[in-house]
Amino acid sequence: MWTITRLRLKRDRRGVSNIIVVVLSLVIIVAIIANIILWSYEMNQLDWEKMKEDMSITNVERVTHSSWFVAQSEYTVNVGSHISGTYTVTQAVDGQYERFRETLPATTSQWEYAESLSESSSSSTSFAEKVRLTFTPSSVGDWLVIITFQARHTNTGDSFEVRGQLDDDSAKIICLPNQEPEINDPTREYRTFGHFRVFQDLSASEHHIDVDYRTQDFGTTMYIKNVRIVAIQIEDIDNVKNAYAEYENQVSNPGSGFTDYAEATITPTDDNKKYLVIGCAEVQPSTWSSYYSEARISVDDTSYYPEEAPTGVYFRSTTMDLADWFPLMTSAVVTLSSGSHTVAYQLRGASYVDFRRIRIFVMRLDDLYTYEYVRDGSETSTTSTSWQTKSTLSFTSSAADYLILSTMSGQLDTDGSSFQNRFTIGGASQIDHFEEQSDGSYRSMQFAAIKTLAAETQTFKTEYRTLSSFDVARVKASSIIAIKKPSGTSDGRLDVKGNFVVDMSTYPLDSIRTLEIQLRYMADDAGEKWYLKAYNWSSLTYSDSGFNSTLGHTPTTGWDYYAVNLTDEWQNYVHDNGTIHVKFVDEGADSNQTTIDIDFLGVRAKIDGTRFTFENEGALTSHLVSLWIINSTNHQRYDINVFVNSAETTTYLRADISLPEGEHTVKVVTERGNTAVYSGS
Amino acid sequence: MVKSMRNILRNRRGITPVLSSLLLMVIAVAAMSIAITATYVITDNLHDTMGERFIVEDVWFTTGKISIYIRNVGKVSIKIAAVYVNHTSQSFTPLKLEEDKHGWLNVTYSWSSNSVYHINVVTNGGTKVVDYYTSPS
Repeated sequence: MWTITRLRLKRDRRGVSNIIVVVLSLVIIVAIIANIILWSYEMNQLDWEKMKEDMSITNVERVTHSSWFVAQSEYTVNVGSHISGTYTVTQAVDGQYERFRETLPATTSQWEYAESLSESSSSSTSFAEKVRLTFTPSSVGDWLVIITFQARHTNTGDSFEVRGQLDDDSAKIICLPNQEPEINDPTREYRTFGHFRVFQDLSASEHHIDVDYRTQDFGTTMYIKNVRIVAIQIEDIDNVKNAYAEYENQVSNPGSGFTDYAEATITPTDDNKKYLVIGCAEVQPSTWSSYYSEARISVDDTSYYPEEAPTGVYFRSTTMDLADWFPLMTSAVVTLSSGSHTVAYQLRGASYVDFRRIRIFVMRLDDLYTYEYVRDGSETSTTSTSWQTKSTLSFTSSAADYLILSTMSGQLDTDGSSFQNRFTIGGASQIDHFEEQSDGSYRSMQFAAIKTLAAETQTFKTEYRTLSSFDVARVKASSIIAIKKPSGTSDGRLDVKGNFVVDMSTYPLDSIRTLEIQLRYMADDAGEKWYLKAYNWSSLTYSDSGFNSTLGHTPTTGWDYYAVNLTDEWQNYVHDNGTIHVKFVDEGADSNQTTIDIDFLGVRAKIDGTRFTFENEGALTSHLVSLWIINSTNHQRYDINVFVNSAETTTYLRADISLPEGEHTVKVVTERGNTAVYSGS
Repeated sequence: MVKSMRNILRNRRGITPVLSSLLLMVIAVAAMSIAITATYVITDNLHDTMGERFIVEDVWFTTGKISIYIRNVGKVSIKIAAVYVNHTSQSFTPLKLEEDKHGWLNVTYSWSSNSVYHINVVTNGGTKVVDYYTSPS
């Protein structure tokens, strides 16, 4: 068959050509028709979709302001404290609030100080006055008095006595230590001592504090130097921001376990604030036997703050004179949470040990004082006869008075040899504790003074050394605390900052007329005004310059609205990315610690914009591409890019489109070519 | 080799069929090229004509002219070929719009207020949009 067909084709070649021509023609015709049909189908689909589209404008309205832009991160408390709540509850007016509190009102900043640094001696058994601090409180109030000094006696077996008291009143003795040195070189031994007491409700009349000295053994000589009296008026003891307890009576047989003798209860209202704690006592032996005694500051008995409070600050006295009273004192900075705490000066010792004048004082530092401190509880040692640094406190002081407290416990490993501890300011020795070791126990160096510092870098150090390189000198529990005298201008203050971001994509800068800040808050006292301020990106400061009101707002103690308008100065207060920093601050220092509840704080833009409502009643999603605002004088077109799903209604806000006054027409055009029209006036 | 060439030149009877075959092939290729080109031209023109769509978004009567805002919603570019106002051709600024583009077509015309005008916009492809528009009072 195949052979026959091949032979026929070979014979009749014209027939093949005709077939090829016909087939090729058919191919071309089919291609043309297919192209037309397909294209026609596509365009018909376009037309069909256009016919199915049903878009309408249901409403067009003027918009005069944006929605509220609220805080998206936690507020920063520059001054004052955060009490409760989070920034999220300030995002709506709903009665839920975030609470802040002002710093504590200023302590009355009357500080008094007297010192006599030169060496004096006495061979009399009658008291002689070394230094007197005379002062008159500006008002009735509570006072903290701290006395530190160095004293020595020329003879072993003989004692000296130093008395610090207020107004020559035996009931107001601050300290009354007497000591019998046990050294071979009485010309070099010079121990340091310290003690304190709080006097409550001191009258606003003249008072004096004396430090007197004498020898207790006729015909012998004692020496005294570096006597310092610090008197600071403190806030009235309220057991919230400060607390004080004293146990003046003699305690015998304190027991082998630590026991609270002076015990103060304090109930801070704020969390995690720093407090200064000072404790002191006088101790004496009641037998000729060797004895031991120890004292320490404790917080909540066993709940110590190891990084702050000295859990092992440790004093041991081995004076052998039954009549001797050896002063112990230590200070620390502790962190207290809100709620009730027991802060105590704990004592323990041999059964034949007596204590008296046991005192504990707690005073809040945070928000009240500017302070610096350093503490090193670890034990370090040296065999060097050169001064070794134990602790260094470096900071830049203001030109102001500072209360400076320093303690350090020292010891030598060899009885009969000596060591030295000292406290220096800028390398200059302020007090130099020199002691011959007699019993292997630790003795403490004490320093307290009020110094007027310049505005410069300060370097305070505790240092130690041995007098012989064969002996090992050890120190521990070293602390230095510097507290600036309050200026009275930064107390009872609150300064809260929040960050807000205006949506620049919806409200471009050139569409914003101005900005408004609104606050809903409640203050628990109406004694001072409150201000809203914003960060000025031009002057780089917080300001209310240009605001419609710079007079602040006086609260009513109920819920109040306080709003400000930034007028035409608003652009200085908004960053190009829409960020605006808002501050809520009080009028200034006052005597009340105000609590502020913020229910709402927000920023919004004043605009002259338009909100359009589009409704798609068609079966297909519509893409709106063109918007017309037409009135008798202008036909203004805007590009838009809005998709409206089938059977949905969408609002579209344009801050930059201002509706014309009078009759106007709004048209919207879809991508498919349909137009919806809205007439308004 | 030389001998083979001499044989081919000497045997002239085989040349004519070869030449005729080549000639036919050239003619066939040329005919196909013409046919394909014609197909392309025909379909392209149809394509352009069928793919044209445009709308008039707005008509704004301003002093001495009528501005017509045109949007190309078709699948091909358009070029406005003529504008008729009340069936009379008017001069206008040339306007060519690519796909999804839009722009003003300014027609020079002294219109009267509060009158109805029949405006017909025609493209090169013959697509037209015709409507009545009332001038402002």
